[in-house]
Amino acid sequence: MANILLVEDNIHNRTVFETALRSRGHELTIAEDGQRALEILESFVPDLVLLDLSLPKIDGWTVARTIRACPDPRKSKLLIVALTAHAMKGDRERALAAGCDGYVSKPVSPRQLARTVSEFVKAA
Amino acid sequence: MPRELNPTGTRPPPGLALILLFGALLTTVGLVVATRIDQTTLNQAGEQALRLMALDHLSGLAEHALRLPLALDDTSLAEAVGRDLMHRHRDLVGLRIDLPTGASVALGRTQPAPWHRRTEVIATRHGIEALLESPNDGPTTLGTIEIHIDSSMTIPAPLPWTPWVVLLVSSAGLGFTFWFRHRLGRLCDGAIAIASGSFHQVPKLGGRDELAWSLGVLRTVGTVLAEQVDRVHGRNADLLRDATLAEDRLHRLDAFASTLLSPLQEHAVTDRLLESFAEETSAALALLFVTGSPDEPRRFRCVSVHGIGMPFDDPRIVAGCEATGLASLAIGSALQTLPELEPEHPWMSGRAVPLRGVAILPLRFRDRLEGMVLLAAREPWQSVDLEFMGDAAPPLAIALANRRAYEATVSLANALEARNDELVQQRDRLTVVDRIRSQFVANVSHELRTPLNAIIGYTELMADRCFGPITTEQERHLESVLESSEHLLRLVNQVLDLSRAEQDELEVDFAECDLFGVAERATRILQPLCRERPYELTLVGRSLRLTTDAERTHQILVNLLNNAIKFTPNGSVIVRVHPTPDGGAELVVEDTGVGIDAAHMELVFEAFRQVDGSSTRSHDGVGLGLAISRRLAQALGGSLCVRSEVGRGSTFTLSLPACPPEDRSSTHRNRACA
Repeated sequence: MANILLVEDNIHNRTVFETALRSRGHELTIAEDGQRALEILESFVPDLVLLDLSLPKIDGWTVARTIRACPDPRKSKLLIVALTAHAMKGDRERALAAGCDGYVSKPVSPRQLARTVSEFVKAA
Repeated sequence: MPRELNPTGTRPPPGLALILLFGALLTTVGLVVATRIDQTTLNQAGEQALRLMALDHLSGLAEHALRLPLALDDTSLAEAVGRDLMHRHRDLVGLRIDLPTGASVALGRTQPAPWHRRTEVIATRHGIEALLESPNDGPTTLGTIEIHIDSSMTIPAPLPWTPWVVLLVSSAGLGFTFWFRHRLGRLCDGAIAIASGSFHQVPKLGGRDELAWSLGVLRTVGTVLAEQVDRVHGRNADLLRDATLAEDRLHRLDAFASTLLSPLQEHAVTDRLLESFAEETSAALALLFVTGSPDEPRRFRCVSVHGIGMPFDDPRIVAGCEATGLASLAIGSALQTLPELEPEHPWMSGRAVPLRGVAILPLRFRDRLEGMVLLAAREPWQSVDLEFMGDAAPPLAIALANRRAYEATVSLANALEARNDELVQQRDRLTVVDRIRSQFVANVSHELRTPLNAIIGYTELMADRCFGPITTEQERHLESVLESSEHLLRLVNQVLDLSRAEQDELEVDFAECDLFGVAERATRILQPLCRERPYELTLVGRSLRLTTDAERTHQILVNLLNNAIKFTPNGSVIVRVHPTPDGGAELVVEDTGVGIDAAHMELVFEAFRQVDGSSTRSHDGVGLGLAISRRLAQALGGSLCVRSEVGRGSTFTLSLPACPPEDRSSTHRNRACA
């Protein structure tokens, strides 16, 4: 089971993801925007970051780039999976270019999300 | 010309020939006379010699015969012997014998004759000794005898007139020589005069001989030559004048042409042209007209004036045109003159003296009347000016044609530029619209997916009993919610696909695949839709490898099968996979459903269209499937066609090419199905 930082601004999606992952035994820390996520990461290093890209204050791409630019190697090597409704042509490439390790497009079913998270955690 | 050069006829007069003939005759006569005189003299001399011989002979005979009588001093014997001698010799006409005693006997004529000889008879020793018996005395003169013979034998005197004849002939010859020399000299003077070009100084010569004739001919030659030289001089002078005029005209044309080369601007250049034209022809006033365009009421439009004192667009110019009757004038290709301009003519603007030389010079280029120049001068035009106008018209016409072409080009260029600006603006607007639209589609996609995520997530979590236990019926309803959500997601994806297709942004990924496998998968996935149908999907064909996009082909097949099942309540739906002769493949979906009316055959491929568009239609769907399918088929380089009959069913055929298209923009247009 893993420590997961979930960055998601939409309350409903946050609830769904939280419920789906907690019910499968994962520890979840929640951030509602990019700024909050970076603040949490100051003092806490999770196993995985599930990162929405369209976020208030600081957007997900900037968050990913900031994490990758961090001098602390534990942080800069963090597993980041983009979890976004940007599903147009080129969106996956843009996410990976910003530093994400994975890309999951919404809508995603709780079962599928849990499967993807397990795969990433196992691989790590 | 020979007759002119021959003043006295075709032959020279015979004067000199007659003189020569006369001289020759005279010489011949002289020679004959001289010859004859010599002959007589010779004959007489011979005869004289013969008489002297006869005298000698008779002297000897008489001496011998009279020796005895003399010795005897017998007068009678001497007389008898003398008589005998005279009897025997006829030419002895007289004989005188002087005896030693002093007696003398004279016989015949005794008077002395021209021819006579006195001879002394001398007794020689051997002859007389016997007779005289005094042999020792030596020769002794016995007597003398005088013999006379015929006095008619006289020696002729030398010819007394021969020197005169010679003198006469010589003088005549000398005179003739001097005369001939003088005349020949005059002839030479004539020749020299002609040779030196003094044709009128050939001397005259009197008389009617050949030399006079020759000099006469020379005088005529001189006259004729003088005339010819005069003519040549005249012609040379003409040529020189022509050359000077031509050079002058060239200069004027050159000056005129240099104005033609000026930049083609609206009125400045035509003003300058007209000005130099008027200056060259010394016209008092000049107007340049161009041919009006078809939509203009007047035939000619004045563009430049010179020497009128008003601008070219002054109303008086038009009034003048009407007064001159330009509108009704038939303009040919040659220069034509017009009646004089009276002082009250609108163009005269205060001139008191009428302008009498008015000419219209048409300007034609390639059979098109480009315009005309109207020139007016105080006096009627001279031929030199008319020639200049004739020469200057073609270049002026070309200049006008150029001007017209230039104006057309400029206006065309302006129109093009304006159109270009418009197009650029339109393109910019379209680019903005396109960007906004792409952004909008992306936003729509994002905003639709976000709530869908929540709906699907909550439904699945509830179905998984994450929020507490649920009844079986609730679970069934939750499954319906999930199904509807997925349907909604498909619709969202389709709308996005369509949006991309319209911007030619459909993503296709070509790779070799088994089309039969693709068809099998689609059939398997849609088989559940036939649960409430009295048939199952049938797949006909066998493995067929082709380079295409398997996922997009699958998507098309799913759409086609969805439709087929939807519109086929009973009967059958068959999927056929087969290769085509050109190396491609066809996927055919055949149903026995309601079919499509011929009038609506192409409508089914339009987005958001269903054949039954009414609110009470019996089939759901937004009508995107076929539109997207056709666009996908085009993106794959193939086509999607339909053949159908109402009540009998429809057949959709997806044709795929052997090779994927090289250029996405050149996708095939849909071919009509047979």
